Amino acid sequence: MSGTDHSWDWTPVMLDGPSHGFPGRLLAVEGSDGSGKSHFISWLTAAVGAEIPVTHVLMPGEYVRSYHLWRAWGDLSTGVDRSLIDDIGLKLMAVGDRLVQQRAVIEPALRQGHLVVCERFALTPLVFHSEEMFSEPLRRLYQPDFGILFDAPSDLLFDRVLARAGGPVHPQTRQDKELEVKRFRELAQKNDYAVVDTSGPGDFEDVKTRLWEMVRQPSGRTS
Amino acid sequence: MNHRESERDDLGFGMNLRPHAWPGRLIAVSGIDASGKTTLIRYLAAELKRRSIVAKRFKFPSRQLKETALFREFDRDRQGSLERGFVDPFGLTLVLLGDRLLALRNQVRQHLQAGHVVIVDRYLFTTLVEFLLTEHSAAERHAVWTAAALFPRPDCYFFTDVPVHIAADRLRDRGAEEAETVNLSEMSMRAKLFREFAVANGGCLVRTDIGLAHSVSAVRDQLLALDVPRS
Repeated sequence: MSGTDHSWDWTPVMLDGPSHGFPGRLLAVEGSDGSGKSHFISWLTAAVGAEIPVTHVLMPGEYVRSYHLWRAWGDLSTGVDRSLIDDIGLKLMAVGDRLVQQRAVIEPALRQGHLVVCERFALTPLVFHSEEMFSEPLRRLYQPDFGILFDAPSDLLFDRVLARAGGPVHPQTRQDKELEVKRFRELAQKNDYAVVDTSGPGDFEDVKTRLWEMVRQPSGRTS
Repeated sequence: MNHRESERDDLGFGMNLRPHAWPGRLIAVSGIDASGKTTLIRYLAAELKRRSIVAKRFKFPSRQLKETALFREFDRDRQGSLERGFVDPFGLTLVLLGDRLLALRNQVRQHLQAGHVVIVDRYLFTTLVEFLLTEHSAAERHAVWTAAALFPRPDCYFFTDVPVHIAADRLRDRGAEEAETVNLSEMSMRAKLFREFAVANGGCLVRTDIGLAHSVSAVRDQLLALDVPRS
């Protein structure tokens, strides 16, 4: 996304959040736009929905996504002058909202033993900013029981997003996307996320074993 | 972790906000509920109008945020929603600061650039006061303070102040929903924190319970010192 901090002092933040300790499971699904997150979540829900109740949480929450300046930032077709949108303000909302959603939605679902599939969790905001003002709140997010990064060459991701009809008009350049994808990979490596390459057809073989282990483990954390 | 007590001494109420460079003037108003903010703002607007200066008024947080389910639930019963654990106070603080920064850039700045006077109700310190009243770690406070330092410094900062039992009576008279959950000791804490911020940030404390006339001279002096360009 345009608005990526291109500064050299960006670092892949190591997230050392608390363990959730609830009977449910927390799965973090990360990846740039066009990486196949939604496709995976639909597949997973169909595959395990009979065994374990699934709660799908999309970050940021609905009220941030419907906030007019949030929409305007990611969609040039709204015609809002982007210089009138405070990037730091948007990121603070997105980060604060994650803590709000964790408390209000994720915790109750984990308490009830659900598999919580969190689409975009801590990594996405960190791709754009690694400063403490953002990383500190994100460190308060629970360690997921399993984290997956969906990945593909940045040009392919860019073309996939471009091919979406009727969607928002993204202000991102190929160069922005390349940087974003590179940083996602660094963050995934630092935080022990599994990386799934979606450049070819696949049926998630790489992560199936760990997914089933996580879902079928009697209770508590898998590791 | 509750560092609240141990950190009282080095909280740093002085925010070191940077002055803005725009030709307009930014007037901010803070204070506890029913402390007379709206009355003062009306007076300020009327006083400016008398001098042929039009003031643009804003109220924070933005209307759009206030209309969300999250904020409504929180605002309906602030203490209750925090105690029931429905709302993460640190997360909510960041959302509220982000919303204000967005409104400042998107709506307020253009008026300051055009040389207008802007009056903002609940500019910044309300959010900081509410944050300080909840449990928080040193690192969380540091993150909040870093975000708060991004706000432009108002040219004039009014803090409305009344004894809390009077504010509580006013809330009851209004028949406000929050009057049912009035907690005098919490209101006192809020009022005390606002006073600390006022003193540390060169704010002007305005008593609104002894007749506005009593405070008018102080308010007028502040307005004169603003040296507002006439529209």
